[in-house]
Amino acid sequence: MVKYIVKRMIFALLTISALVLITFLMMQALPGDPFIGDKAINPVTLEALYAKYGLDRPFWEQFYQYFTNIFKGDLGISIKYNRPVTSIIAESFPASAELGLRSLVLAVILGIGLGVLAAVKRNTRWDTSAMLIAVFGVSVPSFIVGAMLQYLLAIKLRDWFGSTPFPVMGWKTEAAKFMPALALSLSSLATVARLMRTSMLDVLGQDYIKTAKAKGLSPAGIIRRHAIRNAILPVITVLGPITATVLTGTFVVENIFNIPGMGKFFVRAIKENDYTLIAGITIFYGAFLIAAVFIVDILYGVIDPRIKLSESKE
Amino acid sequence: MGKISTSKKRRHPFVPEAMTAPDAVLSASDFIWVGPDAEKQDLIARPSIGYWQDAIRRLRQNKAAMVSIGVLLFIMAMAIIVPLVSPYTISEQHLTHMNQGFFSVCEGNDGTEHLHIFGTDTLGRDLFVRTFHGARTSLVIAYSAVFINLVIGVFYGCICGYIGGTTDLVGMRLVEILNGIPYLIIVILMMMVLPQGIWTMVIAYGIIGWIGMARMTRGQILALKQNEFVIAARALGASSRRIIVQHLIPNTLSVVIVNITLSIPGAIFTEAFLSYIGMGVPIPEASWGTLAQEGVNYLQTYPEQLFIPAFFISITMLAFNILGDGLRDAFDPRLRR
Repeated sequence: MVKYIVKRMIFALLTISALVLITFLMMQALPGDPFIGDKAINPVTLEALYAKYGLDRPFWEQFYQYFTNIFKGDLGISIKYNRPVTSIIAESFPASAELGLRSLVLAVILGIGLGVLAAVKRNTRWDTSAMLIAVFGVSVPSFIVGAMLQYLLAIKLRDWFGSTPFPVMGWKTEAAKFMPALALSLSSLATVARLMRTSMLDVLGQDYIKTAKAKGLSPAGIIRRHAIRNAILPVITVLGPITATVLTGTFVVENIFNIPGMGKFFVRAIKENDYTLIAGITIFYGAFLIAAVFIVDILYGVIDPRIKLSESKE
Repeated sequence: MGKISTSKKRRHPFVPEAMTAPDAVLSASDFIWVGPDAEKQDLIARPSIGYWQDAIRRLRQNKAAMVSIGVLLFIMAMAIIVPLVSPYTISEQHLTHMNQGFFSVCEGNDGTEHLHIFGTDTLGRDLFVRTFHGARTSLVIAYSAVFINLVIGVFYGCICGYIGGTTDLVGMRLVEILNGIPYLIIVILMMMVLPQGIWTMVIAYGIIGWIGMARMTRGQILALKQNEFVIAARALGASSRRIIVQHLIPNTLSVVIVNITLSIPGAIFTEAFLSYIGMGVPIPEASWGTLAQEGVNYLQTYPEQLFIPAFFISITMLAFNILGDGLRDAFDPRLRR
């Protein structure tokens, strides 16, 4: 187990390093200059600015500086906002995290519910409609779902009934938070539902379910106590990837609903050529996701001891 | 074959010798109906069905998949035809006729009337031609990106899986590290470095999207190379290259096809996503993503400007997903649930 954790950890660190390197290389290759804008600039001032931000030093020196700074928790200073990237992240991350967490919870709970329903009522109308929802969820991008929800829940409800609990955008009330969370969760929800259905069908065919039936347990009890508990294991493996989907989805959803999160800053930074902010948010996102996947991997190893067997065989 | 028929019971009597003489006179009543030929009954009546024919037959029975194929062919045909035959170009403005709904008729300066099937956008451009020109852009991006994925992925996967050992170890570790980084972040970074345009998107997605394909191909090759036919081929002196190209790749084809079909929606999504955050094809070009991005600004007043591209993005992704599922079931019915 310890060996497994250490191995995973080394991988996570390597991945983060690769991410930092790629980000840095991209930033170096970027066209455009943050200091050359609409106004003409004095070459002496330009040189002074380059010196201030360390842009005049050789490549490897800059990289080394950047890399060590990151491990000290310093992501540099945003060129446009003239304040530390870390402080921007600290300010905007809570909203993004809350949005992400809300949609993850929605995705997992609704996804498992749909999957169980589909598996238990296999080949009935319930199954078909649950899987139809799942296919739609995978196929309709989150920003379209978001806009549709805005249109239906905020605009149309107001047109029809004169008032609606859902504002078109914003991040104040519970109702306002519900729409973006649902929009963001739909594709992950679908992934979880499909996986849960497959896994549930597997489990329902096992001998211990027959034993439980033979012992005279109620069908509801069998599903709750024996089937769901076992079928839920594979769902844990997709938690990492769906966290990634949800977090990258926040880029657009935050813009649609005007949520003061990191995604909004990121998109604005792209438009404004704010190198350090882009790099900082990229690395933060990447590292966050890599950490999330790492935790999920370890969690899976702890919950399902069989995973160790397959690892040692490798 | 002759022996089989003599061993079967014959229902007609032995032919008298007089009848077989050269000068024998035969009439219709001398002949009797002997029933179906026993020899023919033993023959295999239908042609044997190969793996591919079997898969196609199974796919044909899948109504949802066939409808998806129909929808996709229709959209592709429209994407090719509409921009060719449309009286408008994608950037042509009708300044007296902006933000109009479906089937609106616009009066030109010279008094002639013309029809805008999907209406016009805020700049008075015809949405019908823009939507299907957008379909061209989006589909070209998706197909090309997936093609790059296919080439790199299959090549990489074959090398790792076939050679094995250290190559495999290093190759797969590299893939694992790349896989740990969310692909959208890398695509965004690459899009920033390269100049805006269709091929930038293709390259940005193509370069990072092959990882899934490589992993899958490697897994297939690892399993396949243990098979007897590979050993036989090697014993007969086939080169590694020949074994990979002639024996291994054709056997992974079904899985690869399913994987491609299921990864096209991902590419369409990526294009729409990037356009949406302002990294799409440059104006006045149209793609489904840029159309949706332009439309979302007018959601409150002219929702159809978002709904049209949103509908096409969703329906195309849906069709590819359903077709991919159908293909998987057709190629490997055991997986079906």
